Amino acid sequence: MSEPEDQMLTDDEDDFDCAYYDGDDIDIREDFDDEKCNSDAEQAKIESLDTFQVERLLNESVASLIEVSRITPSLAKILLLSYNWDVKKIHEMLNKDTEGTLLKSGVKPMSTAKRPANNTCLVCYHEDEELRALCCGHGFCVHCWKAYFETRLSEGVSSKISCMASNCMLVAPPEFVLRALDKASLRAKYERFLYRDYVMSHPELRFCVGKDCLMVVRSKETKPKKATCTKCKTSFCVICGVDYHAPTSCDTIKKWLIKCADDSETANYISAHTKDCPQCHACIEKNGGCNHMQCAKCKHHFCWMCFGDWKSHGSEYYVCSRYKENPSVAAEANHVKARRALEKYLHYFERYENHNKSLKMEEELREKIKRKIDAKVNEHEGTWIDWQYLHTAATLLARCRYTLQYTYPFAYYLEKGPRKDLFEYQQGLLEKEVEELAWAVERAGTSDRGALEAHMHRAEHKRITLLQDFFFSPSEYDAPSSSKFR
Amino acid sequence: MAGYALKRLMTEYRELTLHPPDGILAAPVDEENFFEWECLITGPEDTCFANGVFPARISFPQDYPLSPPKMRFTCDLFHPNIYRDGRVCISILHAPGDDPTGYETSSERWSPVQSVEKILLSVVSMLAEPNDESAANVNAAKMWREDRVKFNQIADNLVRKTLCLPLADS
Repeated sequence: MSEPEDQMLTDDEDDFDCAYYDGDDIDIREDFDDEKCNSDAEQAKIESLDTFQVERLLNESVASLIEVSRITPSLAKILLLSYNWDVKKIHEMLNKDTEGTLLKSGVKPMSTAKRPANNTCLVCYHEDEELRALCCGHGFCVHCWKAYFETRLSEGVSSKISCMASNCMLVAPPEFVLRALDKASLRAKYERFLYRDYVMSHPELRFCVGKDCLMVVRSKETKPKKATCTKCKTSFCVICGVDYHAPTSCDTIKKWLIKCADDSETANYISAHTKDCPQCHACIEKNGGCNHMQCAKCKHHFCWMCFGDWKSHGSEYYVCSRYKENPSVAAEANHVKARRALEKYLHYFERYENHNKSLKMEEELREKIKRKIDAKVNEHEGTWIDWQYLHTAATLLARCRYTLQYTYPFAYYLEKGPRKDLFEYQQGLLEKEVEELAWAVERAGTSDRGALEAHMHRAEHKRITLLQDFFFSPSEYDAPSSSKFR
Repeated sequence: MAGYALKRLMTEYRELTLHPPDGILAAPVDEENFFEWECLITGPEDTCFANGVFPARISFPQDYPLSPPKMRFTCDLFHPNIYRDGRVCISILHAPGDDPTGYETSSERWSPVQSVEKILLSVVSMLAEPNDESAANVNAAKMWREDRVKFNQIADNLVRKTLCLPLADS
């Protein structure tokens, strides 16, 4: 390994080096060793919680709020929900303006009403019903409450169902709702929705994005680092929940993914590769070399280059001499522009997609390496332990390629300038190292260990250089605070 | 569910026929279908819509009154809070939480204790005082703000149209 580089390394960078020299698989490290996990600058500091642990965490907040302000647990929960579980802030607000805070979060009624004299439910207009009311006193019959809660529930509202009276913002506490709902399935649904609302409103909690995974990830991370669920092993960006995407920011990757998914580039393709018939405006794709076109629809003969009527071309068959003085040059410029935009997009997309495919193929590499090691050990070429570095190399290769893949969306949106030049230069270096590493890993033998480790070191170093800006400097990368995923 | 809504609509109909509010007539289109109502609203006095008689339709959902009904004028109306096709955009017809424009946080929203009568009264006051902050018809809102004379003139002609009177000279 090359020494001079170490002078530039900060503590954090050193951590990167440790991370790969200790030779563990990334996943295993996250699972069993929080200490080491913290040492990796890309990994978000997370804690995976199951439903039970989440409930306990939430109840702790409730308990601490009850301690400072005397309210019942279920009201405390409503309060916490509307102030994003910030006990300190709620306490301050309560000290400053108890009435207003309680009113605003729907814990205390704005006005209290007397019960109607003849016990008429104001929703169904039935008289002499048994009326039930929240502490605001707006009484309605049991049947109407039930129907109301069922409707709100079917709209996906659970934690913020307010009283039925007009302009009464009082929130119905869970006990009240559960008492009115008579079907067990609806009660379960209500509780599930309630739990979802609690987790989503909590700034430190996020649902794992893994399929059917019920785990919740707790993290205080503000940068889009990588979180890995301990249960289903899904990795995702701790801020926005899509696949981990350093060095691209959350906003940029969102734009990029939308761009890749929609067909805006199809429109661009059409604009770059087709022209409209000058007579009937049918869209025409040129499929031969000859510039003498005949529209299949209106049978009009025209010149592909200048859009003029073919008849006026006379004897000048192969050279369209009128190209330059023709006014349709301006229209031509739009085609060129569209083509440029398409080329630019395709340039980045192809590389992004290609690394994605390579990553998938290199997953098979692991299997191959395993077989290769078995074979080598059987042939008495070194011991099993001697060969383990190949696995480390494969892990590192995958990590480098992954980062490389996500440099392309970033570069696509980067504005032209010295910063982009520098970034693309560094990207080029990483690209070269990754390919060399991939080549070396696939062909490594016992004697090549030194060379391979040199490759590994260089690749990892280039990768860190690329990520450096992203994790250690400017605030422009910082994720917007509102981008918590749903 | 429908039976529940039907009972409530029948009660409201009875109330409206026994104690009709001023300037408002409302009834089911036919007695077989209580979920489709027709109503006539007279333009509020001392406004540009005064003397006009405007027909409208109200369609109720099966889960009324838990969900709000929809209202549509069946005559031409040029008004900031009425879409070109006659649909009425007013806060009382929107369920809380479903606010397409974000302007209605403070104003009255739909709740199951609202009624046809309250909706129609709100519509009358909307005719008198358009809300140009959240416009359904942007052109109308713009004219209401910038060229009240022209707005009044258009309104006057629409009033004449509903009464089958000849249009005023412009």
